[in-house]
Amino acid sequence: MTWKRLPPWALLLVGVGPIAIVLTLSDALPKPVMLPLAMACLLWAGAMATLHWKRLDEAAKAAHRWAWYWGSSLGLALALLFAAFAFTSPSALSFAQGWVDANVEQGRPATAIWLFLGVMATGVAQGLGFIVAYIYWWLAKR
Amino acid sequence: MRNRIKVLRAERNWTQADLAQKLNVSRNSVNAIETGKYDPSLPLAFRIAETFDLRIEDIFQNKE
Repeated sequence: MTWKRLPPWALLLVGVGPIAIVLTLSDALPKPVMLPLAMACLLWAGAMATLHWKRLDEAAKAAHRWAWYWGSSLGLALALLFAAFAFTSPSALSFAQGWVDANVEQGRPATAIWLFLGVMATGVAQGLGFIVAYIYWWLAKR
Repeated sequence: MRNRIKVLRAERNWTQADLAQKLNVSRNSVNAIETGKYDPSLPLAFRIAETFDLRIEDIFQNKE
C-alpha cells in the first residue's frame, strides 16, 4: 500500500505514534533533546491531522464537526465540573497523588505535574466525548 | 430531505460500495445519505444525479 492510499484513520496513527514513543522514552532522553523532539512530534502530528482532514469525505467531515461540538463540549464540561469539585474537595484527587509524588521524587516541580495532569485529563475527556459522539453519529439511523 | 437512492441503486444492481466508488466517497457516507442522516452538499448531489443520469429533483425531495 502506497503512502497516498493510506486511509484517513491510519494517518492519525502515523501522526500520534511519535508522540507516544517520545512520551514513553521521556525519562531516558536527555533534556536538551526533549524539547525540540517534542516540538517536531507536535508539528508532525499537526501535518498528519491536516492531511487526515483533507482525505475525509464530506459526510465524515460532518460527523467530525458534530462530534467535536457535542461530544468534546460535553467532555470539556464534565472536566470543568470535576475540576470545580476537586477544587472544593481535594481528596477527589487522591487517586493521582501517588503518581505525582513519584514524579516529585524525580525532581519535577509538583505544580508542573498537576498542570500536566489537568491538561491531559481535559484532553482525554474531550477525546472520549468525541469518540462516543462520533460513533453515535454513524450508528444512529442505520 | 427524502431521497430515492436506495431504490435507484437496487434498480441498477449496485451495492453501496459500488456507488461509493463511483462517487469517490466512503461506503459509510453513501449509507448516511441513503438513510437521510446526512444531506449531501450541492456538488455531491450533482455528482449523484450525474451518476444515475437523472436530475437532482428526481432523486431528492423535500420532506414537506
